[in-house]
Amino acid sequence: MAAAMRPKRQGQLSAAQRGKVLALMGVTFVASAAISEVVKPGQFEYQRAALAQPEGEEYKETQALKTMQGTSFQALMPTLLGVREVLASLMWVQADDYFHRGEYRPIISMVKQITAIDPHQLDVYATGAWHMAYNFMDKRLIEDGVNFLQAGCKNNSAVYDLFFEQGYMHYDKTKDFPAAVAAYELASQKKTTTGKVVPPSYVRHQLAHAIEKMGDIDRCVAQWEKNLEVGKELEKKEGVNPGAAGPNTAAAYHNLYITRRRLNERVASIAERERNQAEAVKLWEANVALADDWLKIFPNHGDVLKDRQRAQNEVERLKAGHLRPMSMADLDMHFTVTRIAPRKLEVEGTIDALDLSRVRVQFEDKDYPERIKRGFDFKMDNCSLEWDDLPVNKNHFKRTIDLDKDPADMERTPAEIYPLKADQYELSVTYNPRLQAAFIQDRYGWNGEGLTAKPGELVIDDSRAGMMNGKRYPLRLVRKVITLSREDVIGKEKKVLYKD
Amino acid sequence: MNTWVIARNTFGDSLRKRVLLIFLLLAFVMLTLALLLNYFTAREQSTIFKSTQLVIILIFGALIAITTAVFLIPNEIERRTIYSILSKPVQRWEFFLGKFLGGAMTVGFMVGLMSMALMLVLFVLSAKPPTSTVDLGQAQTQAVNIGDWMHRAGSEMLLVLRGTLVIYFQLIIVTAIATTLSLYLTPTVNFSVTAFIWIVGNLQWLVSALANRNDTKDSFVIIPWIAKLFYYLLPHFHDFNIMGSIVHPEVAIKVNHWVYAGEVGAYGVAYALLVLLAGVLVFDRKEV
Repeated sequence: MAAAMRPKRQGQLSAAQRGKVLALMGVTFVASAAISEVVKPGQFEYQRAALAQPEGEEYKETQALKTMQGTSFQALMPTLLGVREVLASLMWVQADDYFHRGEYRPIISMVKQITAIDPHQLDVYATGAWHMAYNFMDKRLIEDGVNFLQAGCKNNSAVYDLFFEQGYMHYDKTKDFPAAVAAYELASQKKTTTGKVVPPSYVRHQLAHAIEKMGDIDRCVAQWEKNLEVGKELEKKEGVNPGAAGPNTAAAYHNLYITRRRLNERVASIAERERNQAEAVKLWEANVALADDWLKIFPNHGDVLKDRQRAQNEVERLKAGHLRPMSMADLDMHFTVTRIAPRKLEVEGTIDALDLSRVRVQFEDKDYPERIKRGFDFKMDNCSLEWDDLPVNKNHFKRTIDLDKDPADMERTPAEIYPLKADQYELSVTYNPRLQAAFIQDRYGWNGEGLTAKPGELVIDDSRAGMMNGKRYPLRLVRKVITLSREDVIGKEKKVLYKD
Repeated sequence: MNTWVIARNTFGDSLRKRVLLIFLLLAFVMLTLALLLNYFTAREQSTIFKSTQLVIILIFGALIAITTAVFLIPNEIERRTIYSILSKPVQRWEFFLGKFLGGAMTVGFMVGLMSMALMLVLFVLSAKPPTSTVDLGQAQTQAVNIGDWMHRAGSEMLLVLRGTLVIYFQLIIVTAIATTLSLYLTPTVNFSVTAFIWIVGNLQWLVSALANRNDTKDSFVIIPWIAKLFYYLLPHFHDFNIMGSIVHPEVAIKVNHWVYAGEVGAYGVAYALLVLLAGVLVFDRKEV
């Protein structure tokens, strides 16, 4: 009323116009509130994706608060202000700077913080796990690297990258080939970050290599066949590209051929040992046919021509009745463990294995797998683990396990890496055919079909059996374990602790 | 028509202000500095670059929006130019909306320039495939495939376009609030209050969650209602946070991104209009 009484100046609204503006304000308020309700579910999806919350949950308003409650303290402020990605990026720049300055220690906690803030930083997961499993040279941290990648896979399950990294860590570091196969298998079914439906060829190729290491050669051949088919299809779209990320059919052709050839050769060798002449002839003839097939695709290929000639010679020899069955190789492993100084154990031995074979020497707390279940801090304060793969040279291997120095020269005290707080320790020496190079496996087989050892040292593990031509072959490896006391390890004088 | 003339003049005036050009220059310097991160893999570089640059555009855009808007009307009053304008056949609401539109155009121009710079850099960076540490070595030996480069660059630019559009709609609200508050507050106080509202608006999802907590409902019935009123009255700046989808486009989100951008754009326009209508009523009765 008072406003209506006021005299109207130049350019001012009339009372009726003000009423209309007020009404319009009411409409826009309702409109903005309604639109914000429309927007809300979408924003929730963005928030859920940013925090890598699982999909499929019904949208509820209070979910946002639950999300908040589940957010770590480090991620709280950037989450509130909506700048989590940039904070994570800047922290990663700092972590990288630490790495290049050789300051590794803060990196583990930093990468964990970064991935709590932004769980989609693929390279932080990959590089952080690499630091843990490789750069710190602390074998106890390998499982933490694997677990870190596992968390990364869970948070980034749509793309192949971290599954591939996990597969490689199992393949190269833990030597857990079934786990590597499982990870590579998943990686091969995922998309790329750029939206390609098929991941790079190296993913499928690594899967095949891991299956071979696992000893399942039938499945390995099938995988190479599949890799070749996928590669051919990709070549139709992308053209020929022999790079590891391209269709790379050349590598698939080569590996398919060589795996089939080796399979026939190695099973033929078993057949001949069992004096099954017909089976051996059949397998070598299969190699002649294999070479013929390949020469149709790659005419005059030098290596294939040589392979064909060799297979033909074997067929002729066997048909002539000249069997040369090779007996199983008795590896006849012996070794001595000498304490040459406190915390320094020299392992020296002999083994009747081919040169450049690898013998794994592992030192750990007697009940290491049980002890580490008590948590990360307990593990780092109390548990000890070290191993090395020693090369065999003229049937001889030797290495000092030095528990008195930081293996990475990071100025850590020896007690930080090797606390030696257990009462008893196990030192194992293992010859595992699955960890050997291909030319060595030609003699002993993928699964140790061609090796033997003294009773008590030969381990026949059916749970890790391989498959060749539809037949199951248990893993055969040579392993000897001795128990040492704490005093054995830290005593002062030089002393022979074990000799066989 | 008068509104448009005032808007154009305001836009021209704003562009001549040195402080805005300094902000713009700073933003460009920071854009250039980010290029020094080329020791990372292409994928890491892209992630770091996009996230930092979008935040730079957001923060410098907000600074430009607030700095422009807080002076739009006070300067006219201080220089007494407002009297000569209002003595002509110009409605007060036309003047007010014209000033706001001029400010919004200035912000749009500045954000547009920064976005173009970001797009240009991303276009260059896209020449390298988005390699991880796994295939870094191989990628370095490969020749640039022009077709792949254009495809990658196109995708990146669309992402940036979506990101900066959503940022711009957010800044329209900021400009509207600062313009309306300038009718009451001095520029310095207005700057602080608008910045505070911007921060609180980013925390609105927390308010929403509190308003809908079951235990709050049970304990004291009025609290959820107050929280709801607070929620609808203040702007929802958190709805404009789509950074994750720009920085990590590989992450599956069950949202049509462009539709969402349109929805928050509509919200931005509706809310800004609400604030401006309040400003129109206040300015209509202001003693000038």
